[in-house]
Amino acid sequence: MNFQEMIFRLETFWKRQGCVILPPFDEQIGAGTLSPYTFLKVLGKKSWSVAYVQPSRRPADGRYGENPNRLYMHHQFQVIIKPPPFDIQEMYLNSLRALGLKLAQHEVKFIEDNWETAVLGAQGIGWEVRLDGLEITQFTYFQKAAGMELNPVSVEITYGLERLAMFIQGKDSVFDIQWNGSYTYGDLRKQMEYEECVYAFDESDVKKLFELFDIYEAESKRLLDNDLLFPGYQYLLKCSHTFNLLDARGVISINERVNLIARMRHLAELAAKIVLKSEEKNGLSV
Amino acid sequence: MDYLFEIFTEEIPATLLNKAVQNLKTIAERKIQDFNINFKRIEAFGTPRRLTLFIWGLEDKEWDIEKEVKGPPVSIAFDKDGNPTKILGKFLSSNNLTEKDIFKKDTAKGTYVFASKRIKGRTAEEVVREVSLFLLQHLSFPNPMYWDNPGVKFIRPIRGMIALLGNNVVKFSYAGIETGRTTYGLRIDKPREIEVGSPEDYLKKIREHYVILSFNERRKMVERNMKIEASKVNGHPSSTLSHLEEVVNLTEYPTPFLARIDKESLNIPDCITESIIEGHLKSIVVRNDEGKLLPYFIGVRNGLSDFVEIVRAGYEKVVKARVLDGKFFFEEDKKIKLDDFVKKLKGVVFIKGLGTLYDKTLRLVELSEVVSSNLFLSSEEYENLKRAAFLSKAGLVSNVVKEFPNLQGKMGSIYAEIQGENKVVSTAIYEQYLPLPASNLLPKTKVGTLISLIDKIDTLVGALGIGVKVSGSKDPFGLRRVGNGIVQILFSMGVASFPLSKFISSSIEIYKKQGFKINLVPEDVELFLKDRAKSLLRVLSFRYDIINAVVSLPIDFMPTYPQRAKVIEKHLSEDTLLYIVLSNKRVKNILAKHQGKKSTVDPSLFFERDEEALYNAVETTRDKVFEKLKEMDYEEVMNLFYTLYPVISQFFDNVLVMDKKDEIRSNRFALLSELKSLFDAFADFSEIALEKK
Repeated sequence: MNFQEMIFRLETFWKRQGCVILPPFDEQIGAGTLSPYTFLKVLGKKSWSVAYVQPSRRPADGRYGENPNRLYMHHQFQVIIKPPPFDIQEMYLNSLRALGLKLAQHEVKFIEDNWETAVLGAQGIGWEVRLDGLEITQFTYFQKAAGMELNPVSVEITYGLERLAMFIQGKDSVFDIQWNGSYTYGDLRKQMEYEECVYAFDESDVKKLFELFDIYEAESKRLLDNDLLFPGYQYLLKCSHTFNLLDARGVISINERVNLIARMRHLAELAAKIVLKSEEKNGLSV
Repeated sequence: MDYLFEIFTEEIPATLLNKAVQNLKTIAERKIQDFNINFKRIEAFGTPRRLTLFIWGLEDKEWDIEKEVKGPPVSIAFDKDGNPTKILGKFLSSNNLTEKDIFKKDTAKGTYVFASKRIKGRTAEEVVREVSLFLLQHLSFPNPMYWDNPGVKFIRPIRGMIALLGNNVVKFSYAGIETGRTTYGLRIDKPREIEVGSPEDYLKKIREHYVILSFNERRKMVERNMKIEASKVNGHPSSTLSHLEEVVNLTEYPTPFLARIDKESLNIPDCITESIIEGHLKSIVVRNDEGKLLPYFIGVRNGLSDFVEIVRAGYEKVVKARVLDGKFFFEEDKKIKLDDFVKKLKGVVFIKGLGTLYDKTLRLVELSEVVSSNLFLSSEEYENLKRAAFLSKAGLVSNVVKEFPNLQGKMGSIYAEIQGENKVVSTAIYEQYLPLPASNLLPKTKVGTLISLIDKIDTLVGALGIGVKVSGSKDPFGLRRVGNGIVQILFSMGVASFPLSKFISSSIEIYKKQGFKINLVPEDVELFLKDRAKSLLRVLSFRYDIINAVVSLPIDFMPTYPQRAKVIEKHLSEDTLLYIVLSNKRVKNILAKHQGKKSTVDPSLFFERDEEALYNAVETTRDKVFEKLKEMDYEEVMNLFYTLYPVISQFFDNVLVMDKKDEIRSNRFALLSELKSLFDAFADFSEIALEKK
């Protein structure tokens, strides 16, 4: 099964479970959790079901397209359901079956893996799912966001699409994945991968990036102070990506790191407050 | 009747499962004591997806109990004609009794009406329901979670419950889940419901569906089969108990299989391969007869052997990719000079408020100097210690250690060797982290021992200095372990003394010189370490009083605590110790009466023959005692004390310490003080509790 077919199947599968299927959020971000479709939606009481592909940029993981397993940008398939259905685990396994996997021939293990995202004040308890030893999914029950305990909680399922595709297609290099019948992953992504790495590791202007961080932060704060949630939150995401670019250059000292993360966390809390305030004002729409 | 209670969950963390099962059993056993019911035994089991409790041989119901209830005084219960009053009537009706049930009994406050009341026992069903609900509410876990039921936390989401008493379902609900008789077996493909008839039937059916309930049975399956698998390549599986526990508890039905590691991967240090196999892949490494790593490992499938070749291929591929990663990082690291790694430590915080790891490095280098001059190290040893201190933390910023944090010491040591540092330095870099948690492996080399000690002293001084508190389960920087490490090393040194107090005070000074605000005195650190020493001596099963007797010695004598304790213990039942303790007690008691300044003994003020005799005995014994202490011949020290006993007795029999003249009295106190300090040089004998004969 080729890469795009996998995405279609997952979308179809989760559509049938009642999820809204959204296009990827158009901002450079490091993980599906940061998308407003996740972070801003797990807050509050309103129920929510969504599935989307999230291109995730982690500059420090880039290898100029030379490493068969590491990428500057990979693709996550993200599912958020609030509150979690009773049979969510089986539902997830069914999604693997929908990808053509015969589970009786493989081994699926759920290994404890809890995560924490300092920038979002978020915390989850759950597992990494291993398919014949390969980590293919993070399966998590969100416990906290913006430092607050969530009630109800949401379940977050994050598939690593490249890993899954390599497994299903039996490839040893991510660039050999068949995207469709005529293109490989490498055909479509390798040059971009290389250029992004050249930028992140060699060409980025560190001084300018620090300035940009300050500008984005100020803009985010100004907008959030005016209750303009989405534009304000988008500038927070720009801060986060700028931070990741700086991190890839190894120029963030430890104290600076703590400081920058605290500044972003503050913005995330401002955004969370707006979400909760407006939910209170509008009441629950069930 | 038998009772079965299964809590069916999503996957319970493998490292927490055994503890959870143990708690299930103890809490159930404790709770059932609240009921008047007999049972044969309680058993508990756990797999990744279930916690299961059995109560075997439970009686049908609680036994009835007779309870005496006190009513009103006879004078109020009956009128003067002997007829029952309304008050008695009320007592009877509220207790559901008739007049036939009552009797009169004298009490200290007069004669009262009493009745014997029968309280009917509850049924077994009521009992197990209450026990089960109590378990659900009181099983506690580190880091429990919410899933969809606000207010209910458990280790992982509960997805089903079986409660069967004999053949019948005991109805109750928790976290929105109703009890029933349905469960699921091993996850193979589509889940298939299993209907359970009775507790016995559960045992049979669950096994038919490939669930091995007992951890011990699963462990044996793994142990037996991994040996067979490894023997195919003339190897032996090699794993620690705690790692094996995790591997086993990731399975409901374990099937070990042999898998291959790509040959070329052996160009990376073994410790990286081990970390990938054990830490990441939860599998087991294979060694040959000489203990060398073979290019194979044992994976443990959660499932049967059907299609195991597919699973094996998957595991092998994961190892290959991770090894490739490890190799990349290793090659990158090799390009970087260790001295440059040290510079990078400027960007890594040690502990908030105590600067960076670079600051720590500089402190360790300075402490090496103190150590060197106090222990009279040769200039070669000094140079090695200083170099090892300077490089000790370099490995922490290497790429491999960032990827595999548990390799901190090993990789630092490997890079040092590759870059031409001598063997003493590279070994010391590894040994600084010894002893590892739950291990008795201590540094073997002198420089390694010293670097391990000063590294730990620096951590302890700094953390206590910024007010880190250790209490109960709170120990954020693992200071107990750090302290235990210091004590373990000292206990194994085999020296008569070690200038630990000097190193502690130097460490404090060095922090202050660097400009850190740390607020403590050496005694704070010493007290902490003495506490750790006490706890380790308890592990060695010494008696409390003996421990207190030796730990009262200055901390520099810590290396000798265990030997001294052993000698005291040996003499416990002998007169030797009895006399020493008694002498010490008499001296201590009389010294307690002394007020005023201490003076030195002046022989010209002696008037009695026996005080002169004691003086001479103390004088001639003292040098011998200290010589023997230095030689660590504690047996002989005890003998020397013993020989003093007659002289001391005669002194107390014939000399009145409390003389009227001040100078004579003071002089006698001074003499006794000298004697006391002689005893104290070995241990505080007043701590020893003697059994009364």
